[in-house]
Amino acid sequence: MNGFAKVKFKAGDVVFWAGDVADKLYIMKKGAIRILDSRSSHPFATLVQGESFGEQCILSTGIRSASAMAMEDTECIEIGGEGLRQLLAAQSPLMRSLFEALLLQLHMHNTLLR
Amino acid sequence: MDTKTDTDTSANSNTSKLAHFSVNVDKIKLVDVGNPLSPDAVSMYDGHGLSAQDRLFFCLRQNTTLGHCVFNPGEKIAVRGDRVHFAQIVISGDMTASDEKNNFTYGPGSVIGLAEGMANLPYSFTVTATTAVNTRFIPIHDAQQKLMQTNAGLRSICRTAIMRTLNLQKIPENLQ
Repeated sequence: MNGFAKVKFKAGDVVFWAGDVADKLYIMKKGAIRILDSRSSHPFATLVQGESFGEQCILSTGIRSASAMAMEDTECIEIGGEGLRQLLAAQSPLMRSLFEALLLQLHMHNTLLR
Repeated sequence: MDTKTDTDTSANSNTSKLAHFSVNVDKIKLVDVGNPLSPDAVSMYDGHGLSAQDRLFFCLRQNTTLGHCVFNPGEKIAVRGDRVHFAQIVISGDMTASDEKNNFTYGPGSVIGLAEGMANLPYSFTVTATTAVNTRFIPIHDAQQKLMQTNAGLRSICRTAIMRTLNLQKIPENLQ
């Protein structure tokens, strides 16, 4: 995948705030990230190795809908939004639809059950 | 097309007004351009303040390769516990959805059964059309095959989205 870099966060570091421009996606290599509700700041998900977050970067000029904070020393692979969009554009229409629909269903789940 | 607007999460299942999910169809009509990823489309998104879910729906609606389906009022679109063969993306219409604890109403932009089907799990909710409902559908078997053949990074993102949607703590066997 193009445009990726290894990044490290210490416990308590904020990876991004709700409302920030979403220009990067992260895949967890080790550690733990807590996702916080934009309104209440209450955590609603904890992500660990192998999971990803920040998918809004697939949309040009997307905005973060939640904040992300490292719970412990954490290492991630950081992927630029442009590289991800190029990668997705090279996929079959079915794969693109699958990707977009999974993100939409996740939004729906968060909206209804958060 | 349906004219229901903003997402409404102001009520829960214990009140007379049910939690509701829908994209903003009125705003999406204003940016009805051919290529949703073109610079023109992106500037139109920004000008009209589309949310992430509005934009995802817009991209999906523009995809002409997915099959169409129509459900009549009263028809069951999904039955909780049944195996998922086709996931549905709702283009227009209204539905009710329920499980043992929750009751919701769905509108355009709702996605039914996709995460469950990709994880080889049954439908989480029973979904019933309350008006005529138009959908685009994704065949689960084909989508599972595509996912296994795709880039490892994209596969990881999809797997995480599935697990977060279904509140799964372990990676489903078929997605490992």
